[in-house]
Amino acid sequence: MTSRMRDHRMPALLLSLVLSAFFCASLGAEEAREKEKKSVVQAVVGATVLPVSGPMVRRGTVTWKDGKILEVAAELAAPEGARVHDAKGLYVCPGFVAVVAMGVGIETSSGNIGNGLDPWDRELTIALANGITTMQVLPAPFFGGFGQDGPLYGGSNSAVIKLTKGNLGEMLVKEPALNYFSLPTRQLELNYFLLRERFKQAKAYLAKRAEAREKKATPPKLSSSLKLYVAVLENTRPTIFSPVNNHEVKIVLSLSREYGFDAVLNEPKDAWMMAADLAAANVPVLVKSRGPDFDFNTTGPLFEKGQMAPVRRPAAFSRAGCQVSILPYRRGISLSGLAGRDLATLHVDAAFAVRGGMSNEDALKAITLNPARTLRVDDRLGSLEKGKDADLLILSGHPLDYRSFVLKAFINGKLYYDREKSRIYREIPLTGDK
Amino acid sequence: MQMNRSWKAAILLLAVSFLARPIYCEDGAAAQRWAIRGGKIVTVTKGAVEGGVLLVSDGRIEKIIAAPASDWKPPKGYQLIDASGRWIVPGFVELHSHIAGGDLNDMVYSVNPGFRTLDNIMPRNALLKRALAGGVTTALFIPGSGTNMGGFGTLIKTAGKDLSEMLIRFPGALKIAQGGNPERRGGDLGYSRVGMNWLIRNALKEGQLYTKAWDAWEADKTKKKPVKNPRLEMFRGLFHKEYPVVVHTQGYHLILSTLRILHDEMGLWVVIDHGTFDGFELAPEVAKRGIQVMNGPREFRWDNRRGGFRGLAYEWYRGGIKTVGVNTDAPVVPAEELVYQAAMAVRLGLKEDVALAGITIHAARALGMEKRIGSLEAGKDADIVIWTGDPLDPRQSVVLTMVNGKIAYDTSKEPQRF
Repeated sequence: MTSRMRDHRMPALLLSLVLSAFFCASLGAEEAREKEKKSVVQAVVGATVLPVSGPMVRRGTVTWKDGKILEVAAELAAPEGARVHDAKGLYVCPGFVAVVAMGVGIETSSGNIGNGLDPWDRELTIALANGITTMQVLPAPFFGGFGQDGPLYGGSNSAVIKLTKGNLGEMLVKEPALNYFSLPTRQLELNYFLLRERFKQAKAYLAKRAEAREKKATPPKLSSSLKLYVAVLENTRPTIFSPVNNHEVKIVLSLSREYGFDAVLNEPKDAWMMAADLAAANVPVLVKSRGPDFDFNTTGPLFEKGQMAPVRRPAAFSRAGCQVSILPYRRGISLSGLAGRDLATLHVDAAFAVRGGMSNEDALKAITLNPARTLRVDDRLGSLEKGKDADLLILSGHPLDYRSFVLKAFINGKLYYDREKSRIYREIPLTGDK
Repeated sequence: MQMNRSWKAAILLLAVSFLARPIYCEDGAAAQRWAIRGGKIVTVTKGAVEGGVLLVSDGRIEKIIAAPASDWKPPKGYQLIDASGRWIVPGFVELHSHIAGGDLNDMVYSVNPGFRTLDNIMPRNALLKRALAGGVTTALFIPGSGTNMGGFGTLIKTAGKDLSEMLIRFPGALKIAQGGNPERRGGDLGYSRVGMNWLIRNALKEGQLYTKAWDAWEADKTKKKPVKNPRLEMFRGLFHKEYPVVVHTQGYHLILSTLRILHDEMGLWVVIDHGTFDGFELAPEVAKRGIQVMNGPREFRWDNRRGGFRGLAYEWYRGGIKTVGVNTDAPVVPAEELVYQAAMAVRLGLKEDVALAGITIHAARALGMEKRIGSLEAGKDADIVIWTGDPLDPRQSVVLTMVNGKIAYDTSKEPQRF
């Protein structure tokens, strides 16, 4: 019985050896092909190029090689041997950057988010098909549930990822991307008192550590509960707050001034009233351009907070000189059927900001360069400039036109989405085809 | 000194009285006549007129002057509204709205033909004000879908100083919810489709018999006068097709029973007022019966089988519903975003002119109101909205909304609401 089993095993073992050899070989070939592709110059020609960092370029050409942009110019012929993408009559702009996104490209939210990335995630593909090439993700849910330190909900489990579909190797850009606090509105004063106490302790720790370093002594032990606050004060990444009222905004501003860290305000409700203060303090804001949803309150005031319609708020911040990033209506991709209310239409949320008084240029910036700046990845992302990552879109129309579709999306110079080959919008005709 | 002061006061008073000279009056007592000079007048039914003039008097559209002379001046008594560079569009018609007042569901009984929304209406509430800023001038305010028969809805204008000024028609329509939400009641009769269908059929049958009995009496075909039943009274108009039944029905399975029970069996005037999920697969059957579909608030379906998006309004259109419109189910989608729902339908495949007609003239026809609202034509209600540009483009916004010839929202006088 045993010998017969052994006999059976031999061919199986051989087969698996042969198969794995075959796969290794084919993988090698794949890699070689990939490398070859990489060093080829690619060019988009004849497009209306919106580089975001500069003025619109008509009949523009964008060239790139090895994942980096070489040139953005008008009427430039593609170099010899380049792979050319004809984009006559089409638009080209940088890939969109989404902040505080949730549930996209993540397989699991337990542990460090960077360890749970899923390059085959369906929602990732949908976001990519709608122009988002970079995303700052948080584990869901953002609000509450992260009670690391009593009532002070906070953490830094976040990452900047690229939506390189099917390619895990190039997904992670930065981790942790930022620190965040979401303090319960109840006992607000107490919570900020506790927060300030932690910052005091963190400051004391940093002083001790500096002292030890000077003396070349062993640095003092950092307790796990203080890690987050030390990270905030070290200011190697921004810290996001979600203030519910202007009182809270003022506290955050004073904390950031006092302890010298960069604060970012997420949906600061009626803080448009103090937009000038935020601009002076260099505090970026993340705002929605619509809402509120599901409002049954027929006896309430016209708007939830203050008297400014949400559609006007991004423009109000922008006019005051704030760095504005537009948030989508929902932070993830929803397949419930409600259209135009999630990350799949981030560009339309930017269009609503235009409705409220922003210029097309500023609104496009608010979903590209501004969020890249806020996330401190603008050295690589957010605009079409020489030396930056070749993350760009070829669109059927202006990126803020609600009818526009992404035809091709490149990340690190490689084609990750092609409308003609994708099933996502196969049943939907382009405007010109109707 | 004293003299001086009184002179000053007199001058100030004079100045103020000039400044405060009413361009229009809230109560409509003063200016009732407008000359709106375009711009692009989008009539919906008769194409677009560039650079024309739209005359409004006594709450109605008097006429459209297609090519006014270069030195054209508004006739005496008409106030000029300069809309050059703007788009002039008919007010939008919403067939699925819950924002005119609160209290949508009373869930003791499964069928409530005696209920009505008329008494709940709160004129000039904040949600209606936002709807005006989105160009919505007519709304069918219907009960919720908490029970199989939520009661009778009211057809109103979104502006007006009181109910009498807002009211277009009561009953506006009956609301029937065939499945989904009514199941939330749970536990008792009507928890499943068999129970729900029995409840709906039974109530309608009762109404039909009641209607027939009164018809016979009024036609002198019987000597037995029926007994008045307030609970069933509004069924008479329903079975005489004076108003439609708007149906919370969605998906192939449910729409199939809508067609069988409500249309084929009961012979009612039916409007499908959700029509979502895979309901569009029945489009040829729905089209054959001449039933209008107002698709929403869901505007797409993620098709697992094909791995992609399907635009629902577009699929209804492709299947034969050439008049398809959209709804918001406000406040599920905010009322002011009705035209944004249409824009999303366009993004997902529908033609722009079809999408616009779907929330104007076709929506009006679905209510039997096409003679009064839904397009810019002489004789129709002056429900006129001036936009900065194409209303389907989310970058464009409403400048001025006029309802029944009265200005209800004006961004030159107040901040932009949407």
